[in-house]
Amino acid sequence: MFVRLALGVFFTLNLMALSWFFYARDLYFPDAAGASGAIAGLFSALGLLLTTLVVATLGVPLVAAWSRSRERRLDRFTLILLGVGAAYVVSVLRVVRGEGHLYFDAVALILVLVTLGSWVEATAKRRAAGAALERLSLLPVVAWVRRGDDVLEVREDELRVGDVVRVRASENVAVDGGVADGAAHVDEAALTGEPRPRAIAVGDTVLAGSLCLDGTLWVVAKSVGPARAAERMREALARARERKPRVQRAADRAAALFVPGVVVLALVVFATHAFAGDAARGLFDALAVLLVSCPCALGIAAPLATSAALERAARMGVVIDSAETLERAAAIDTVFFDKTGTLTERRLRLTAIDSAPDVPLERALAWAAALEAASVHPIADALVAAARARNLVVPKVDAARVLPGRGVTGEIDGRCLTLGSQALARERFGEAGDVETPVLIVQLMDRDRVLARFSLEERLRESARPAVAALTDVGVRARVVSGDGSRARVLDALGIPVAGGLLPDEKLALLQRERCARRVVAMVGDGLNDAPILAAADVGFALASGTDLARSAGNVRLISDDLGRVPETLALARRTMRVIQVNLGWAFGYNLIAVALAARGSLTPVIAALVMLFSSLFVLHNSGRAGRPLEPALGRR
Amino acid sequence: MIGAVALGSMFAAGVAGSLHCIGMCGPILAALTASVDSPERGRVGTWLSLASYHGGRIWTYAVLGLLAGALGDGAQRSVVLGRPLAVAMAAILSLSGVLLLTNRLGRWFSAPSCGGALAVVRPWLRRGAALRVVAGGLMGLIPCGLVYAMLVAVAALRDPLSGALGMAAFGLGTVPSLSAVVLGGRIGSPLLRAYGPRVVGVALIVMGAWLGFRVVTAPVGGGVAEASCHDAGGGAPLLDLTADRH
Repeated sequence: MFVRLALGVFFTLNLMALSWFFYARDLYFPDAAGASGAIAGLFSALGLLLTTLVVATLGVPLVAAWSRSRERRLDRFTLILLGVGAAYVVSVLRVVRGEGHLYFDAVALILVLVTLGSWVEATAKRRAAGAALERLSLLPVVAWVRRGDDVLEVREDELRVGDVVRVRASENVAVDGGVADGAAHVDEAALTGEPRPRAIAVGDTVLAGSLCLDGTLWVVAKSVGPARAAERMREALARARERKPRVQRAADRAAALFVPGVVVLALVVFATHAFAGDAARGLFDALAVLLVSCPCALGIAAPLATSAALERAARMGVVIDSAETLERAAAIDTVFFDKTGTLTERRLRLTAIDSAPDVPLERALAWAAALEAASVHPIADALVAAARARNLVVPKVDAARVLPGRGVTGEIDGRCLTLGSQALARERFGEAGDVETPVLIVQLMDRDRVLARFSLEERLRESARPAVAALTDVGVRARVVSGDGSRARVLDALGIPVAGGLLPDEKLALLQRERCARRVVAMVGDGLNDAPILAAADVGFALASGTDLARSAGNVRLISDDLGRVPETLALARRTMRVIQVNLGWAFGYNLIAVALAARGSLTPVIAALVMLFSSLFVLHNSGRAGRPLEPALGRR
Repeated sequence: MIGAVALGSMFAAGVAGSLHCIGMCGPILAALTASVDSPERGRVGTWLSLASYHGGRIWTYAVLGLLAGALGDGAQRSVVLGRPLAVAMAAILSLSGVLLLTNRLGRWFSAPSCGGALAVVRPWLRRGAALRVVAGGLMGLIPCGLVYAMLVAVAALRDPLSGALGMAAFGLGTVPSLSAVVLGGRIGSPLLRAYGPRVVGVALIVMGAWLGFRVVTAPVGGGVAEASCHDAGGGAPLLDLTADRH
């Protein structure tokens, strides 16, 4: 488009130089008007040639693009093509007949301005998409993989899950995986938006695209190729851009009515003047009406702003699945947080084991670890890690089954054992008390009694308190919705209501109650049992460390576990909706005033085209605001 | 219509004047060299690349000549503007000559505007023939005393088509030496390169002075415009460039 635009501008400049002659002739050489008729003829012919070149360079592609479009519906290009086409045909006829008042300069200038507008729009969109490509460029095309005793260079598309990849200082990681050996600081800013390098060691997870700053890492590939987080993020971003928010769909419907209305109005303006005997004036004013009306501003009001905001979110390490989600996020007034693994760190520490006299502590722990071996819950991680630290032999479990929100059950040595929450124990054995314990307690039980209690300590995430405070500051209610019945002391620091011991269906019922009270609710969670409520909430935030099910259930996925991204995302969404409202207000207001002025003959076609360009540029510029970095006070303190 | 002698004179002025261009338009030529002179392009490709750039430049000169010719025609017919335009033309001719001798115009206008324009068009030189034509066309607008002097000369032809052809001939005249520089060659002896522009400068001063003298000594009244462009005695063209037009 740029080459065509440059050529079009060049031909138009030449045309303007020739047009100057006509104006100068009329102004300075009135006496010579008749004598310079031959020159006027030459200049008219050259004007026709240059305008035809501009029409071929800029106008024909507009027609081709319109005819290629599937719907071939009336849109802004229809208006422009109608106006420019009429002006061009009338001018050609006048050249042939040797009459004056040609519109060549208007035709060329309007085509240049319209193409310039499209080019500016396309450039803005390309820039918005650029950052995603930038992120992709961080993914190396080759990686060094351990094969036996050798380390071989392997192309990125030949990497397989399970490959052990070497990453040295100043290299980018090629796979998502776990660190098997080595330690280093990695820069994940491009993926998570976190500017501080993260220290990682054996057992930690690292994402493709991260930059290794020092040391050497050996990473076992868990995801390669398109399955990597960076690639999924790019795909999600592309999909999100395709879906329009409701407000844009409403604007599109308005624009669809607006265009035929403008065509009718232009015809009325032309007919009014033609019947009054001034068809030339009618053509001029009708042309101005067609050119000044700019549904383009309506058409780009929301997509550009949401595109910029989605891109900003991606830079912050937040992948939003659609513009609709962004729109809903702007209306959120209540945020539910899951506790374990969300407000608290995923890693729990086993602090005490209290077992029945006939059950040795180590056996109880081995059984508990065996039941949890297949689970990915933080409790499971803590118990399995404790058993491994004590070098316990973990027995085999038969018929293992997850009890959602309650625990796990299975058979060990022919004995049916269950590891579950206090609520489950209460349900089975009517045990009371211990609900308000400051630590998390899980209980190992058989069919008849509780065999052991495991006390686990959890720590509040560093980002939890500022995130909750930031939400409260902007009037968003935050509350904890947890399946864990213990009264965790760590949550006291947050100062928000806690609803504990809830089963997944009870969480859903709570969500429904909030909705009945006309509240718009977001859920932030990570676990398997959070998946239903993440899917049911108006907006579901899934943490990076969450289970795959939770991540697919959420419509906002965080690349890191930084809870500060939640208030930031809400702030971004609110700002985006404000930008869209200003854009739409401007576009509607502008069209009402500009079309009215053009219809009463107060605008020439060239001025109309300039005003239209200005309107589009305003919307473009304003939409850019949605993509600017957030002020620190908005999302984080 | 412009004759062969006049066209030849404009072409010669282009050849002589382009020695001045080599000094003035060094950065453009360097950028052009970097963009067209590559082994992958081949000889034909290099020449075509050069032709597209020069084509755009000559196009702009021709359009300017067209306007100058129309203006000359209008000035001849206008009772009001005839004498002032003739005086302005004489002044521009002489001033262009002086500036060519002292190189002032280059330092004041050409070099800064050349740098600004080059910053815009430099990437275009590598992006295909169409953009090179546009780049050449825009570079043709850079303030240049020599071009202005030539425009004054073609204005005296009082015919747009002749003006366009005359300026195109001038532009063509600048092509050989500029192309030679771009392709790494040299044109003319050191003596010619040093004194060529000075000769053109002196010639312009003489032409301007002669035109001024004619305008001042012409009878005031209906013959002003006539005197501005024609010999008061027999109607011979004032500037010798048009000697064979009748």
